[in-house]
Amino acid sequence: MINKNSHLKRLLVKATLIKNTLLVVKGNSYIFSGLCLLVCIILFAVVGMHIIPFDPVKIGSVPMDLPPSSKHLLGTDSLGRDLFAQLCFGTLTSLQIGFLAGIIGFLIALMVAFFGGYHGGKLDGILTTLTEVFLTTPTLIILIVIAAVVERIEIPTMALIISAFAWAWPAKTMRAQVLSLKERGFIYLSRLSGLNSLEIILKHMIPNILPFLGSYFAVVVSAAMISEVGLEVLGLGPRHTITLGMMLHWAMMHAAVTRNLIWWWLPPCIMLFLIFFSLFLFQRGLDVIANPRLKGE
Amino acid sequence: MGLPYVIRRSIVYFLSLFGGLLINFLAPRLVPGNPLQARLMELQRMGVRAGGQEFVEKYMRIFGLEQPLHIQFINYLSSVLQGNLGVSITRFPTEVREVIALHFPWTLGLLYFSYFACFFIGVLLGALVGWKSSKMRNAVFMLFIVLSQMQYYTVAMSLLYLFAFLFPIFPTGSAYSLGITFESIFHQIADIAWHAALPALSIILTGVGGWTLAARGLMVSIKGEDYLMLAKAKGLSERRRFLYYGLKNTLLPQVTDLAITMGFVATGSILVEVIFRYPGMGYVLYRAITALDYPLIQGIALMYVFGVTTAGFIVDLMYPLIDPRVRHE
Amino acid sequence: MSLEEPGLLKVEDLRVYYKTRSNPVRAVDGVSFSVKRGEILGIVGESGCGKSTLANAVLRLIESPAYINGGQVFFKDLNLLNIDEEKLNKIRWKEISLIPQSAMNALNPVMKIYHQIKEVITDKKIKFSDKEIKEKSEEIMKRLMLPSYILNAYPCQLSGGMRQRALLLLAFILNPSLVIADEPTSAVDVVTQRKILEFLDMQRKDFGTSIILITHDIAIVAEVADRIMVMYAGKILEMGDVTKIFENPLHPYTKTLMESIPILGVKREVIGLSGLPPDLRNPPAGCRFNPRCRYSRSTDICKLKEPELRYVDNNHLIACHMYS
Repeated sequence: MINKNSHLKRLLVKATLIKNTLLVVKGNSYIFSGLCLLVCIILFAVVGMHIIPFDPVKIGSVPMDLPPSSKHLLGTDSLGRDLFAQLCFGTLTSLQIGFLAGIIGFLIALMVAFFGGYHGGKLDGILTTLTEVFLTTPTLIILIVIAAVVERIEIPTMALIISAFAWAWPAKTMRAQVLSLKERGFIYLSRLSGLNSLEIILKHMIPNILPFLGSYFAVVVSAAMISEVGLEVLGLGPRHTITLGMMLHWAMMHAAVTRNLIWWWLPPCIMLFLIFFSLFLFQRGLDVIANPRLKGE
Repeated sequence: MGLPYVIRRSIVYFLSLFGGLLINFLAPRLVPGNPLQARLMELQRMGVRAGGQEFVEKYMRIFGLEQPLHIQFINYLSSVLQGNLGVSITRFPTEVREVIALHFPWTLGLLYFSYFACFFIGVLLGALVGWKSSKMRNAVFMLFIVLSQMQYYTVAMSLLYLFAFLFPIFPTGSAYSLGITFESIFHQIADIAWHAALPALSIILTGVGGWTLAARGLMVSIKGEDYLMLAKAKGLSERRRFLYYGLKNTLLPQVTDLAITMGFVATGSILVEVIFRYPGMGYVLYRAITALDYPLIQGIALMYVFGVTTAGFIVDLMYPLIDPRVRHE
Repeated sequence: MSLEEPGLLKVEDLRVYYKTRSNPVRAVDGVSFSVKRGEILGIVGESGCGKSTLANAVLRLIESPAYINGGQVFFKDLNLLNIDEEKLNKIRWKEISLIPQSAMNALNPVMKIYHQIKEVITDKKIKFSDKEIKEKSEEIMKRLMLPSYILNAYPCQLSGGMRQRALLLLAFILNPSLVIADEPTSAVDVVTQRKILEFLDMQRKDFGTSIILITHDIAIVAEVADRIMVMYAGKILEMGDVTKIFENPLHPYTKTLMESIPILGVKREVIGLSGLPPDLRNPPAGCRFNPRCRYSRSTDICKLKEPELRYVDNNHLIACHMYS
């Protein structure tokens, strides 16, 4: 009897939590619009991919340098590929890499921040110094060196390389959060009541800083995408597929700007802007929840 | 401040440099096979004159690729510390350091000018918007936020398109006009400035957003502080309150961010240089990547790491000197 | 109420409200009083009774979401609420200065104490040389027992007590006619408290400075004030000569306040006050103290009509139906 009751109770708590989260998302216009925008982008890309019959990657599949027309909505590039197909496919690929790198980086940051910040001592000292080192070194430069030697860059490789540096900033900020949380009364109590560290971290600390975590995650994904596009524009991206950054790279290689091929370089820029903007809105909204003082701004 | 702080920052600084050197060293070695040999063969097939077998042999000797890894690393370290960064493949037999010396001033001028312009414009704008909002100020504020979300490449390409192509006010690239004799040094300087205008503008327009957002947030929280209220009670003019109580307290804490964000702006400047073919280290790096000129890639990368971390280190050491709160912790 | 001699400061029916989503909070709701030259007026009351809001309102430091909803503040025949900002800035600090409630953050963290002093002097276009400024500061610092090195220090280098006294130094350096001290002794230890009170007394004696001393601690009012004003829920309940009111408090609230002070050597029950102050968005219709008043009965004029502040004696005002 008792087990059934507590089981029901837990379900109820979970349901209320979900409901509350949805309410928060709805109520906060920043989060809502950010998410909406991102979803729209993804939908646009997915739908576009299915509608357009052209291959975004195969060179020479269509005539080169055609201006926009009803057949090729954004025209074609100097390598004989349809630009609209590239845009849609590239958006999805770029997002894939960005989110993959972001998730890996975020998880690394979580572990560094919590195990270092919580346990303190020598481990914390080493981890903090490590974080500082990764934070002060200009990451893209190092990424360039690494990417330049990798023979064939594919999506997982790229995500891994980027995540190797994307974790530093969130690790530092999350550690500060952990340190201040540690001092809070209820954490002290849970330590006294005998819970082990992992349980305390998972059950008590993390749920209390969810808005912060969400905000940091958005920042990590943003930073990862900036690194990604940076590498790609310089030519260090996956060459056997297409991403938004690579589109810009090919555009630059063929002097698209000065050849007045505005349909080549402008759409990827706009798409990237929309992605970054949506992440920015999302992160801003979470900041406001975490820090209600910001509401006045 | 005090000794522990200096020691901390020094450790981080030297570890960063060491890390950079380590990656530089390990990267080509972790790839199976001899990348130099492979690339060289590729280049020779494409008809690029790159020095042939003698070059590879010289390199094998310099790197001592037969020797154990740690010995190789020590050799590498000692040669770097002596200022020897190797020889460029594409510009053989020019040494890497000569190439860098040629192009480094352009990057330095562009980067430092634009970076500090970003900081001051950004913080001032943010402080003004945070102090008193008005339709005009908010609009400008939002504009810069949007521009910063557009990233360096969008802004650079758009500026290139609008003001060098559509309305050819500015040149489409390079740092100075070739083949023209100038009447005086002033004309020469003006020519350089004219060429640097769009690249600098690209960096500034993109970079201001970040600073201005942070500055505004800081100013808004400062406005609620007791000392600002007392400043009003003292009957001080608004201008004085804004400058000495508001702006000064907003400016100082952000100086530390200068060190952190320098890395971002440096990488952004690489993209800008590439788009405008501005002959700084970034553009050379780009060309080196395309040609897979490893020594040059690594040499330039090392320069950037060194430049950014050193500048940051200096800022970190100098900051306690200007902010009394940190100094007397 | 205007039977008194022309004073230095005259506040008439001042109302300061705070905007909320519902009704505004009536933090100061029709307060009238005056301060004579060379007198120390102690304003006492619980937290939230409106004393600090009142202090800020005198110097027109009220900012959103608070706003002044009516009343006048006369200082030497000038209505401070009406004159333009430029004129007001000339009066601020030179004629009237303020010692704010928490000293921790009231000093500009990036300016040395000396520069903050020089700043107010230069701002009022007073031409003192650096030497003169130092001398004048050190005079006051001696009375406050502040060491001379604080002039060259930043606020973060000073202890809490020192910062509080530095604020006092700043407030008195221009020798204003009126100083509003908002809880000048709350954040400091007993010894510093003594020093500060002695200093205030000295200033009044030697320079004829009027002081409004705002506090929730009636003990210090008993020490230095000439008159006392008891505030509650945005209104004045009792006001008059300090000795008289201490010996014979008339208003039920004042009575409770006096009875709550433990007296050395006397064993008696220390009675407190049950309940909480009213919600100032919807203050009770009649007397605001009524819900907690021990003399309250169920069918009372106290519940229906607000008592006016009336003279019950020369120099003794009270707002209570029991005395009208």
